[in-house]
Amino acid sequence: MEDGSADRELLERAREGDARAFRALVERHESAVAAIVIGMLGPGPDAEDVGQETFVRLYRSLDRFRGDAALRTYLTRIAINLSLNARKRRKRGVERFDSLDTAPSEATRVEGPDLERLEARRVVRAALDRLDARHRAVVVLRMIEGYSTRETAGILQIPEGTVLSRLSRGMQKLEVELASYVADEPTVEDDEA
Amino acid sequence: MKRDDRILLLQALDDELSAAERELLAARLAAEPELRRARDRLAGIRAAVRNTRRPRFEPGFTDRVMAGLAPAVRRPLRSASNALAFQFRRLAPAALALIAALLAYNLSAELVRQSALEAALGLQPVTVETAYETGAYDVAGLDALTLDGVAP
Repeated sequence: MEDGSADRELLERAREGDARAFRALVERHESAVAAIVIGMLGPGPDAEDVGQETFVRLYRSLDRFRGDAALRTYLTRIAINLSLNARKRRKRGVERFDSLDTAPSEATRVEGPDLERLEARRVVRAALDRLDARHRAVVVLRMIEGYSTRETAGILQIPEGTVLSRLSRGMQKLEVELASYVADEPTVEDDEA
Repeated sequence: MKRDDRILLLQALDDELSAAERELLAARLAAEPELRRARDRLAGIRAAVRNTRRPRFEPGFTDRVMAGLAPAVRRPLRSASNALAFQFRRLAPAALALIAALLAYNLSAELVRQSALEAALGLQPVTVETAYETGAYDVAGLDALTLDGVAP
C-alpha cells in the first residue's frame, strides 16, 4: 500500500530537524489525507484546516511515533478523529448550507458523458455528506480508501462487527439516496443494531 | 434485504469471505434472484462511491502546511546543533577508523622503545637526561625567576 522504508527514512531525517524531509512526507501523504477529510467534511475551508492540522499533529508527535503502525494508517487515524471533531463543532454551530448546493438537481443536470459523470460524482458526494458521522467514517475508510474491515476497526477503535454493521447501514442509506442512479430500486426494510 | 445478507454481500464484494462462505453464497445467489439483484445494486453503489475517490486540496497545500508549522514547532527545523549532531553521526565511523589505524601504526612502530601507552599516544620517549640535553628546560632562567620571586 505504501513504501514504508521511504517513510521511515524521511521520518528519521525529519526527527533530526530536516524540514525538506518533513515536506516530502506531506507531499507523499497529502492525497490520502485529502481523501479522508474531504470525504468526511466535503470540499472547503474546514477540510483544508483539518488537513493542515493533521500534519501539524504529526510534526508534534514525530518523537513519539515509532512506526508501530504504517504512517498512512497513523495519519488516517488523526484525520478521522479531527474530522469527527470538526463535524461535531459544525453541528453545534451554524447549519450547513452547502448540502442544498450539492443536492441532486434536474435543472443542473447537463448532457454529455463527462458532465454526466461529474454530476453523478457530485450527487454521490452529496449523499455521503448526508450520512451521519459514524456511518460516513466507515464508508469513507472502507469504500473510498479501501481499508479492510479489520484495518477500519483498528483505525476507529471499534469491533469489526460494528464496522460491518455501520457499513451495512450506511450503504442502505446510500441506496435510498442514490436510487435513481442504480439499476434497481432498493428494498425497504430492515433491522439495524 | 436482511442486514446480515447485506453484510455478507459487502464482504463478498470486498473479497473478505472464506472459501466455505463464498461457496454458500454462490449457491444462494444461484437460487435467489432477489439476492442477485441486491448484490448488483450494492455493486453499483460501491462503484459510484469509489468513483468519488481522489479529492484534492487546493494547489499549494504543502506550502501552507509548512508555513503553518512555524508557530507550532518546538525547535527550529535544522537548527545549528541538530545539523552538527547530524554531521557528527555521519563522520563518526570514519573518524573511529582513522584513530584505530593511527593507534595500530604507533604501536607497531614504537613499542620496541617505550611503553604501550606512550607508543599508542605517539609520545616521544623522554628522560631527565634527554630533557636537559635538548634544552627543554632553561634551568638557569627558572632558578633566577624563583629567586627573584621569593627573595626581597
